[in-house]
Amino acid sequence: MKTCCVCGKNCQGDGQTMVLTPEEKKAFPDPAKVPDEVSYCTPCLRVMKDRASGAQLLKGLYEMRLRELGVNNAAKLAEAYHKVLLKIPAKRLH
Amino acid sequence: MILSKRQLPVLVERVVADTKAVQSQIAHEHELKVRQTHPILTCHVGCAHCCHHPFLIPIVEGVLLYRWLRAHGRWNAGLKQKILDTRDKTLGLNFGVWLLSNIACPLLDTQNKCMAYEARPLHCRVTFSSGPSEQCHPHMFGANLSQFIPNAEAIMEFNRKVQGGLKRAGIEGSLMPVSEALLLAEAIEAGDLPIENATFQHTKDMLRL
Repeated sequence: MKTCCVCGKNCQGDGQTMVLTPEEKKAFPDPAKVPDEVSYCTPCLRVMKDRASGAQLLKGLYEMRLRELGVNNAAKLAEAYHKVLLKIPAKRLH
Repeated sequence: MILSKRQLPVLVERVVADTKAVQSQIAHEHELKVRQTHPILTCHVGCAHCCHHPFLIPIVEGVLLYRWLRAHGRWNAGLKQKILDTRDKTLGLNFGVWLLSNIACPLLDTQNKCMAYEARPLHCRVTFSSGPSEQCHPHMFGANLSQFIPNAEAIMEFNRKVQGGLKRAGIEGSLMPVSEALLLAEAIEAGDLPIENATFQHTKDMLRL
């Protein structure tokens, strides 16, 4: 069963599956948990493909995680991350 | 040139008129209650964080909103394109993902003001905050919800009354995002789509947590 890596929806027959490159696999902190591919459902893929909303979604997820971890300056760090994301060439954001 | 105003079936026109009245009444009563319990509200012009929050409206509110935009000369090709873009981006999108993606309402203008404020949906009329406005930012959502003054009761009462009216007119009404409701309303008003066919199939996916 293919599950959307963003919203967790079952996206069998819908959306898109991307095979990770060796370079992308290296970016995972835990080598034991590296997937061979990631799937996106159609609605989440549309958001990720759009530069503005895709970067906002990643910023939001990052900020939410920082807050869960109790990081005090989560908003500031997330804003800096957002700026970096906007500087990355579009193809790297899928 | 005088264009004749297209009328929907009488029973549906009655539901549209009733919806407008119920919307005003519930919003007014809710605001009175809120102002009694929360003397200090922090909502102000130019703060549009809640205009990035996802919500659903009945098709009848879409018709009211569309008619207002047309009557005030604000329904144009540029706005329609913006609405289409928002609809395409949010169709079937889970509410949690929508919120984190910080997607603005298509009726929000470049000055962070609502271009249909006088005709805004009930959801917008009953949303108030009593805390620091930055806490209403979609990325702050979940960290602290205490600043939002509960409005679910008012929204549920409104939806119940509108859906009841539609049912009496023989229509199974569904809830949908503002962008979808506006596009369907345009088709209904043009006579291209019977209102009973203006349904939305993605609600379950969008509300799944």
